[in-house]
Amino acid sequence: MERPRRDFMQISTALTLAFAAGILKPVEVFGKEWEGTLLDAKTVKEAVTTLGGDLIVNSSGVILSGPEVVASGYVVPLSMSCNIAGTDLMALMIQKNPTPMSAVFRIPPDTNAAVSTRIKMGETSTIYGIVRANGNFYVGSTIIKVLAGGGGCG
Amino acid sequence: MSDPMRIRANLVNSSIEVKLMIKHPMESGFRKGEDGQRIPAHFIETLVVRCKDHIVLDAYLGLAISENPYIAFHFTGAAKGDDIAVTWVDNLGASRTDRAVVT
Repeated sequence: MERPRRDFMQISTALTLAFAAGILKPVEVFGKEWEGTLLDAKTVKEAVTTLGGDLIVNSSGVILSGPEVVASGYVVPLSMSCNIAGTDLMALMIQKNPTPMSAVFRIPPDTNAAVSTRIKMGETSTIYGIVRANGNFYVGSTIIKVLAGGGGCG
Repeated sequence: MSDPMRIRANLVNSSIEVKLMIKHPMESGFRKGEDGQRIPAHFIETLVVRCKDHIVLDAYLGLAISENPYIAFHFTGAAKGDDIAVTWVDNLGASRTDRAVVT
């Protein structure tokens, strides 16, 4: 189910040319891996299953860092990083949000497996970081307490 | 018409540190306005960052990312003066590309 990195690069080059020529819109193509099942996953297990995995390893190599407590859930800084070699996919799930799957990053070989962003949280929740490295799946988590939810956070 | 995003791409100890500050409402579609009606969903779905036409980050962002998305990451294999292009596409089909240069 997963494409080898080499194919990813060939596909990426072909796509880049197509986008530049205005033939393809990114969402039409990247949407194929993002769409439907992965984004609908409600649990870590479901997400990994849709990516073709079955074994999930809890790993301290997957690091999620953010504030312990936030007054408002609208803008919560969060960083996700992984020191496991061969990481090519990182996904962020906010357990208590109506749509838990919050972000998915595909990491090419020369990019560090570390991303920082800001998320919306409806309430105090566990945040899971799912990593795919060399076809294996790892997960790490953290808990962020929210005193006043970012209403309509999705 | 969307507003331009801010792109910072700096060479720091042989890797490029990229910080993006994108302007977008990122409405989840769940929020209600003052009139009690739901504000329609309007959020970035995909984001692609390229350096010299080589993809360095490819992301699905979605409705749980805060308004005016901030994304920061690092990559290697580029030098000062290299071209960075950032493209996003949102759920209404709008897209935007902004460019910068590694400094």
